[in-house]
Amino acid sequence: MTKYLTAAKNEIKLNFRYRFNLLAFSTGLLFPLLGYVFLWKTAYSGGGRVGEYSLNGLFTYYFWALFLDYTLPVFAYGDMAWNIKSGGLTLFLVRPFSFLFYYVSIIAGGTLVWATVNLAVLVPFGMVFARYFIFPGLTDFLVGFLFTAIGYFLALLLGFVINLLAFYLGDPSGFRGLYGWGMMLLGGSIIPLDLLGFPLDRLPFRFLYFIPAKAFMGEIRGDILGLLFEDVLWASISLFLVLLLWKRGLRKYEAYGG
Amino acid sequence: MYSIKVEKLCKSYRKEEKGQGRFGSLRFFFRRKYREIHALRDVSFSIERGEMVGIIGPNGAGKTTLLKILSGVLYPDSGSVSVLGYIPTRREKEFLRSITYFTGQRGFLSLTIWDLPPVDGYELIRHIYGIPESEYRRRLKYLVELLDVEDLIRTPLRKLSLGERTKVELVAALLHFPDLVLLDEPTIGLDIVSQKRLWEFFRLYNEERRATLLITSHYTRDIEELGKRVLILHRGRLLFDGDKKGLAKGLPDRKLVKVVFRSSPPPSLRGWRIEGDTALKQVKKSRLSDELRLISLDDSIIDITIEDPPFEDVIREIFTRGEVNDEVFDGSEKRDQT
Repeated sequence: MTKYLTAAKNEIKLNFRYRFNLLAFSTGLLFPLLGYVFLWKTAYSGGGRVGEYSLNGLFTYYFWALFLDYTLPVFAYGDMAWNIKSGGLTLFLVRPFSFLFYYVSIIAGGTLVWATVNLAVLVPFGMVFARYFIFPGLTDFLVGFLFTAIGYFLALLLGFVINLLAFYLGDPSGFRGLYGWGMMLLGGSIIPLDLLGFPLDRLPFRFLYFIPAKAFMGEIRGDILGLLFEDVLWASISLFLVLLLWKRGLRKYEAYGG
Repeated sequence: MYSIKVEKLCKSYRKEEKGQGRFGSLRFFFRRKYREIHALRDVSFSIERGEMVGIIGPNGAGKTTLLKILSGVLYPDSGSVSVLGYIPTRREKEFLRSITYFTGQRGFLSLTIWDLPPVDGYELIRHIYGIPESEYRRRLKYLVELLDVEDLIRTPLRKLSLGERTKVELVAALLHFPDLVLLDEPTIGLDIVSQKRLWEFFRLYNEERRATLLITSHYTRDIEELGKRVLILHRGRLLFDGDKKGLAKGLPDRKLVKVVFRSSPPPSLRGWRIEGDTALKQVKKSRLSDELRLISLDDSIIDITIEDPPFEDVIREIFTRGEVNDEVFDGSEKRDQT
């Protein structure tokens, strides 16, 4: 276990290696949020209304959706596929060191840094615009945190599924792009799903943005346990797919390069 | 006691084939064509513990494929492989703890800690192999002194030159003191001085640790540096397995001299092959200085290089000369091993 903790620690050090990047990326998070503030303020100033959402409701939703967007491992770690394609995987296979767990560790290490920095940027912003923000109660916060944690693993595993396609396709970057952008729409990062006008209850993506954001807002009523069960079920199916693709993929691995 | 035993090993794979030019790319986009490559054909040999064995062969001979099968990365199509008593593809922890696979083209540190200094990577290696702290310090000191990299291990990896990176990567590859060391073109891209130093290091490691070393190279000149025993692979077949002294008798006693002229080579050159502004000739080693003296009188020369003859020529020579025939086999039927 300590080997994966050390890998995570190294990833934290790597993230702090370029301090300006860290600061610049996190500050960049404010731009879309500011854009949303002005857009929705304008939309609501004429007495308009977007679905069932109040101005504060929409601001709060996008606050959480953006936080999740910058924290969940969605687009990241294309180098996992690159290592499979280019033969870098070989250097993991010859060691008593799991390639998959290595990525879990470094993604977790990266998340720790990014989530902290993002919060450090978002909290003062939220305080400036506090009048628009719906603060979660303790129960809502805990439920939101729980859905975020499971959603985190779901995003991680779905990302692994896409990256492991490199065993079969060579380069799955097109799929990764399709998945990343598609998931932002189908997950509720671009528009809250209840504003889309068609139901997406049968897909796992809503557990990445929509459900956790709604949970933080205290708007999940009724069958929370049922939703948690469904969330865990999707994560388990994804885990099964990851293990299947990995096991079969290793037999197809061609170990190009040196 | 055998460290490695390989019997009738075969491995082939499909390679994409794309036509040239825009139409070739367009055709390839709609319809893929593949070619079957036989990377290894009926290869059999065994290596005893503590041996240092060189595997040489031209590019595409199957050397890297062989090392990757021995390290458990690739699955063979047929045949049997036993390494340190394990079946490599099962990748059991104890097996992985006992081997290392090192390639001069890229290293584990480059993949994992590119922006950090090597010591951070060594710490990760320590935990991967569960090396106790005091033992780790002792081993690190031993390897760092042997490879003379004390000044490098606290500098970010990306700031090191290729030669320096190769050395710090080697420390990472050997920190767990493996019993079997698989080295794939370890000196590729290094200058002669660094190459010499690494060869000395490999010999010392082999002697001091009684480790089995398998080293690939596509330079015939490396035969001088490799261990007593040499395997020659060519197009997936094992052509030679034996003492390098026996092989040396079969090697061409020639060098390939390439002379580049400012414009075209003078017509007075006799016995040279002319390719554009370059003249080429295979010259006997004993005649090399005479030949160079003659040609160097021409003041339109801008470059002279002296190389080993192409590997294909060497292989042909091995077969056409009689001296090593008793040690050469075609891979399907093994003869005496030295």
